[in-house]
Amino acid sequence: MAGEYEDIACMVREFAEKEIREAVPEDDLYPDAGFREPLYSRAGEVGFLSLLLPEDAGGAGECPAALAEVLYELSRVDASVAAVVFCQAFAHSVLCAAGRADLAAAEGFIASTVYDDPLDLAGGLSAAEGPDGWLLSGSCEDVALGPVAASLLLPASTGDGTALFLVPVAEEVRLSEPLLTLGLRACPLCDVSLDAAPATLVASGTAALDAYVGSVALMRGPAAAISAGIAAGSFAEGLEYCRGRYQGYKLIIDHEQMRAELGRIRAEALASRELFRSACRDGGADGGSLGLTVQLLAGEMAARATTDGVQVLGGYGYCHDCGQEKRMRDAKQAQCFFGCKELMLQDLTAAALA
Amino acid sequence: METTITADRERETARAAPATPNVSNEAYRRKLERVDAPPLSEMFQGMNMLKHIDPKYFHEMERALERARRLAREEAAPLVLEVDRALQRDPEDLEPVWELVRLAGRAGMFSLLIPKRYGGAGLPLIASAVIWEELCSVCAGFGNLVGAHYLGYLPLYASMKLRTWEKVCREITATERGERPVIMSLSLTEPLVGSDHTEAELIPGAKIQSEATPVPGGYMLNGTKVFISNGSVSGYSLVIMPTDRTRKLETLTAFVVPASAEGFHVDRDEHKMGQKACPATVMVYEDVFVPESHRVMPVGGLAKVLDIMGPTRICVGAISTGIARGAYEKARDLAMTHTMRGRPIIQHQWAQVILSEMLMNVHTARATYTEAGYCDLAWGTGKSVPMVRGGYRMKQLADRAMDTEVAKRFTDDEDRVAALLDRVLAMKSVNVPMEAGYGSVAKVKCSDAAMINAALALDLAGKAGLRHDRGLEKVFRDAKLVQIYEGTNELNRLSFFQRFVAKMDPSIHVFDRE
Repeated sequence: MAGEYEDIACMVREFAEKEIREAVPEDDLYPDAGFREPLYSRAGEVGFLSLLLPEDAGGAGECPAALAEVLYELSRVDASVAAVVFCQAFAHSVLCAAGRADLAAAEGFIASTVYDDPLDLAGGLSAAEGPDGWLLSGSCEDVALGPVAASLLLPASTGDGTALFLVPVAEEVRLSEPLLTLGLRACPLCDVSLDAAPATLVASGTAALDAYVGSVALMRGPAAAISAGIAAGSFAEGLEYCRGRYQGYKLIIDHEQMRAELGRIRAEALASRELFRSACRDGGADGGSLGLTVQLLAGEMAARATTDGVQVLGGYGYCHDCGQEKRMRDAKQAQCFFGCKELMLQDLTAAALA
Repeated sequence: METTITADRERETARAAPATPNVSNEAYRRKLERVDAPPLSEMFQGMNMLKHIDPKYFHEMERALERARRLAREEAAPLVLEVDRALQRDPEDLEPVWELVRLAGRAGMFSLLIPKRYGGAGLPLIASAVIWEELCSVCAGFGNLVGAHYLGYLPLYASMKLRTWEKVCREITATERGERPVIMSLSLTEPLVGSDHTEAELIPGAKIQSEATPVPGGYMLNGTKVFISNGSVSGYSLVIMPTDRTRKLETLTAFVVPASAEGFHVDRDEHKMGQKACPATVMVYEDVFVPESHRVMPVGGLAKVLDIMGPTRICVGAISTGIARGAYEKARDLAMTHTMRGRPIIQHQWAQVILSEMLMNVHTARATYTEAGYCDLAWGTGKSVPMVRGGYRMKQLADRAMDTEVAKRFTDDEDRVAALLDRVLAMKSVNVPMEAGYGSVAKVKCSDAAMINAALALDLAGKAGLRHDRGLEKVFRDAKLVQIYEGTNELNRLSFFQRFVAKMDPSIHVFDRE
């Protein structure tokens, strides 16, 4: 798997070193620092923001496995950038699955509810069909990419069930101030309230649910890739620190206890990498159970690896200047893509019973 | 010199071929039996103390709890998220921190352990544990802001430099309810030295860069101290430095340095992940002159009393328990007000199990630090707080005695103080290593519980827990620090092993030089 995408991985590594690494601490101050538009112009130019779009819609026509490799490499340096790419890809995936790749080809970011449970959609929004088309009203929390989006991909109830809509950000759309979140801070979130906002119907009924849930199943591997990349970054920084600093009479790396700790982090980083690759090979078969398993386990492993990664650096690991505390926050936030992990466990057993 | 070289060679040889503990040796076996079958009084510290507890102690604890609860829930709770947000925006703007300092000062939090004679509440250290738990259940940064003050104060109290101690006490109580309360910090950690500062065996190898050079009338302090809790808001810092960097263990000592001292400046406050209300400061000492009267420990005396870190680690246990409890309470509240798949979260069985687990962790952690606290009272430095029925009142008498000219004259002579300390540490009824070991148990187990609960809270809440405005993600950020400070949990595990296991056999090396 890695060999197949080695060229892409090399290109992403180079991009991450050149365009991202230096600005990570500053970008992580969002929303107190600005959103780095020029970075995403560059990311768009090299195709990171349209990886899953078919070529005839102006995209790269890549599969989720390629996307996952890109996210993995980006997350080793800054998982927030990976999260932006992930959210955009998810919106594209849903639109393409609903047969509306034409809508996906529009300029700008498409915000979505990637932190929501796919089986618990359309909580606060309702849609009504008027003479000039659909109008959406109500509110929706934690919309990813909301503060920087050109349009919003939102579920709403129509009276006949749940449907998916694309809402251009216009005056009927009120966005809250960007939210300060635990992690992935530079992948901005906000709350949204709509007052009869004009919307384009993307899909309704079973087609909407299939497009959404199917995309979630496909994107679990890439979500796991973000976790795996964060864990890999945690190991790399921990190793570098331990090789250069003393505790008592010897280098930290020469303490067996710390070697064991680093060994655990490395094991989790390597295992989660192999897991996301296997989920992407599976491609959503098995009713999505493998993807679900991989997202769960890779998320758990990254959370442990990054908490231990802070510990390895002690007080320094707890401060903003080094990357470890950010990784710890990012890993925990990334665990929440597509809902609460406890519900994922319920779904995994439900899938076995079905 | 020759003897030292020979001894070193012997040690090197021993390390080249580590000895295998000889379990067939009779003496060794007897030691093992003793360790594996301790008397009741050592096994169950709380039960051991039951027979000694003075009812006045219980009432004092009750009052302390009530006082802290009112402060935390009614006054601090409405502010702490806002303070955390402001410090996220600008960690260098200390005004939000000062607001909390004033709040704590008005509630008398900085004079809890200061004798009543000097205007304080006269509480024993161990009674303060309930206060840390209570404050930290609302905000760990706020609790630590108060706790770190005592980290500076306690070594000064233990130093028996009564005149300096009295001066600082009076200044703390006189300013406590004002605009800029005088509080304390402990300047220990350095850029290249962290936890190894807290173990006597590691100090000779530690990369300590600071030095307090003896000069006529006092000392000239040079060096940089990092991660100093309360550093930028403290009026006095207790600064730990050797007087000779080539003989660190033999010359490590402590100085009380006012923030106004010439040559001292705050370089910056660290941008920490959590516990933002308690600033972590980089403090720079450049040719800071400190008079002899402000050296508060015999030269080399600090290493001798490092085991006395035990009680402060018990306090970290209480702080951690407060964090674990705060995580539970906030998660429970959120589970009652938010729904998942059409039902309130708290109506899901899986959520009930998580909340149950979290509350069990709180109870276990509390029992752990309480047991360690009883160990301190039974065997450790807490012995100076007599608890035998009627004897608790002795503490007030002892405080009064310390305010006499006779006592002050006695403590002016540091040789006599050092001899007294040696005698106390040698007493059969004092077991400071056991107390330090229990301190490590409390620190490690309670801080792990805090981190486990903080993570469980987020697992339960899903996306609702990720937003700053809901308060749960802050607990997660705050919790991690307690596994790091006051000696990392890794170091505490080794420290515990040394005091509870390796003590049986000198051939077991813990802090090996290899």
